Amino acid sequence: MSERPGDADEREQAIGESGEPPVPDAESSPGSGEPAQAGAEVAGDGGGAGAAEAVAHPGVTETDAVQIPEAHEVDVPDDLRAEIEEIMGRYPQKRSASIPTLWAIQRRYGWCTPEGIRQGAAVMGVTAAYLESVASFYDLFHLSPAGHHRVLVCTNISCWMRGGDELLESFCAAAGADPEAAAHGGAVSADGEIYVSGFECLGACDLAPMASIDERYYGPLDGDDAEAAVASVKAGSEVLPEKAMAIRPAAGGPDGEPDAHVAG
Amino acid sequence: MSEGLETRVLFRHIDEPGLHEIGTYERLGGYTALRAAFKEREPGDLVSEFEASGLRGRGGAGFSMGKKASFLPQGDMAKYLCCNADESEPGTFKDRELMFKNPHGLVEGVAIGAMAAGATRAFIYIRGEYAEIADRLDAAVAEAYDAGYLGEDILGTGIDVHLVVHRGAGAYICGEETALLDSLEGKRGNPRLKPPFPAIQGLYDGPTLINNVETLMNLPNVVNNGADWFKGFGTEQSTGTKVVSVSGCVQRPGNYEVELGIPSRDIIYGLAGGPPEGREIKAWYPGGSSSPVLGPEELDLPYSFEAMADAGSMLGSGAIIVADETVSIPKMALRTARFYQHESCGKCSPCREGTNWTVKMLERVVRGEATPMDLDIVASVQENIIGHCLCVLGDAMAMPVGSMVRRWRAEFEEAIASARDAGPAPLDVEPAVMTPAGVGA
Repeated sequence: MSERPGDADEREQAIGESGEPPVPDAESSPGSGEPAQAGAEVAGDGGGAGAAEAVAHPGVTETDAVQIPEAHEVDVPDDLRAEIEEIMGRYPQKRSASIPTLWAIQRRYGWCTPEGIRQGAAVMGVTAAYLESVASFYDLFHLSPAGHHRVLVCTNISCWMRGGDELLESFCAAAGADPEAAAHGGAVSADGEIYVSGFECLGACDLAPMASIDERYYGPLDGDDAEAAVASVKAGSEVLPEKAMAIRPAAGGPDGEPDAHVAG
Repeated sequence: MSEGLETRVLFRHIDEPGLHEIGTYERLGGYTALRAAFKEREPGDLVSEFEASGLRGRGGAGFSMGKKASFLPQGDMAKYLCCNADESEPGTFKDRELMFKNPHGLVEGVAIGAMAAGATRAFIYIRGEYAEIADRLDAAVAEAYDAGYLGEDILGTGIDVHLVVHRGAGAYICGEETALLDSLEGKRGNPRLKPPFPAIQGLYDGPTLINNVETLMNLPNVVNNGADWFKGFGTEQSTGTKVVSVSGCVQRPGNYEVELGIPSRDIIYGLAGGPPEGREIKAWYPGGSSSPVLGPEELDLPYSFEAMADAGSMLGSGAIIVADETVSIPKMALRTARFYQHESCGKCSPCREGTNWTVKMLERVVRGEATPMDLDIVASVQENIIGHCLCVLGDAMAMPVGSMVRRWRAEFEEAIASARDAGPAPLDVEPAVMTPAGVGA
């Protein structure tokens, strides 16, 4: 990987601060001429003391030697391990499993926790830093706690024209989340339950202004709908059944009548 | 009101209850094209038919589907088909409706496309936000495997096609085909240098055909009815029908399937109902937020690839966003630029810096801190982005923003002057709000 040493540094620090067990430092072992890529092999020669026996390489600092977590060092729940292994089996190359693996981690822990990422990395055979670098690229992965429910409010062009910004404010008010933070990357409600975020075009401008609530689309919504939706989410009852994208017929018509032009 | 203007081919049974289940889909004639293609046709013959049909990519670039497929080398190497279902272009929601209501239509199209391209592995890369739609696709893929339309030795022909639905996780850039490939390989979604093009060296370095959802969903119809039938719709250079997403300041926003080449006015007014009563159209994006913005003068142009290109814009993904007289163009430009600033992957400097500075300058315009000379700088920044990056994300901001500054320059100058006269004020970028009720449903 072509990472600058500083990057690895920061990430490791971040992981340390999040309460993850510290990665054992690689120790110097003079006379080694192996390439830096040997990190995986070093981790592989196992025996518990594997990391302590790690060799340093010219030009490689200790913090560079971010290692692939060894399977036996990381306690991975059996069902999560089975899920990730099944995902890896879908692809010709196991690395393709990184996004689905992060989804599995986020579903299980509510966000991509450092320990969850470490578990995923151990099963996939990649470094935790790699998996985290992928997670940080995508808007839907959370690298910090993000409530138990997610409300994404579209504020892109078409929704903006129809009151998307106001709808975001309504959701913030209903959930008790900071509207300023919600409009700039997302905010968790004061009770820690609901994550609210303004979002780029969600692909539902026909429902504008709209929101995605726990991965389901609803619209068009007004302030009262926002209040009702938040109440339903908290009560665990069905959210705005009449505003669900799923029940909306296609625009235009007539319904189901075959077009005269269409053969066969 | 609308029947005469629509031509429903892909949308023929769109609201048939249970269409997303294999039984209903088959009852309505589904998978007959797959049977015909796999049992009676040769891959080369199919690719020629697709090329002859004139079918152009429905994702934005409008490149000939058959020609693209013909670029894949022959031989025994592992080849791939990727369906681009990352639909993230602002204003675009056609693939969402097609996939949610007719997932088997896509599965059948993907299988036929893969067979024609000689690909044994296919992927549908769907944006992570479309979880509800991806669930439907997963169910449809499972049904298709059970029915023998996917997997090994399909219908006893000895041909294998494996299909995996791969969910993204929120990144507009992954709709760019090479970024999509990196993302599918499990990396951050950064675009690649081209050439080599994906047809030669794509997913896992193998030849890869990448097509949009709507493009692939047209294939079963072409197989069933032939290239000449398909060319019977549309214009000479824009054959077939197109599902057009119409949104913004219109009374009936939604997806409408029309023959390519009908007057744009018929789509915006005839089908989508035009702007609310008593208001006039001021501007419209003809092909998603990346397309240069047009004005009322262009409303009578045919809605086709060539007419939009001649007008200096593009048909793009087929997403019309309408702004009426209440919408401030500088604020719309800012909202557009902010999207690209947020979504720039940061790999190329002109895009990373250009989108950032454009947003800052447009914020100053809206706040009244700019001078008319700053508009020249905004315009020149746009010119310096176009063509200077690995992919066209930067261009996709530069084209609409540049077009707005050029065409509505007087309004930008007025915005600067009036904001300055009003004195220092907090950044306010809200337009006049149209409530859903006010627009009519």
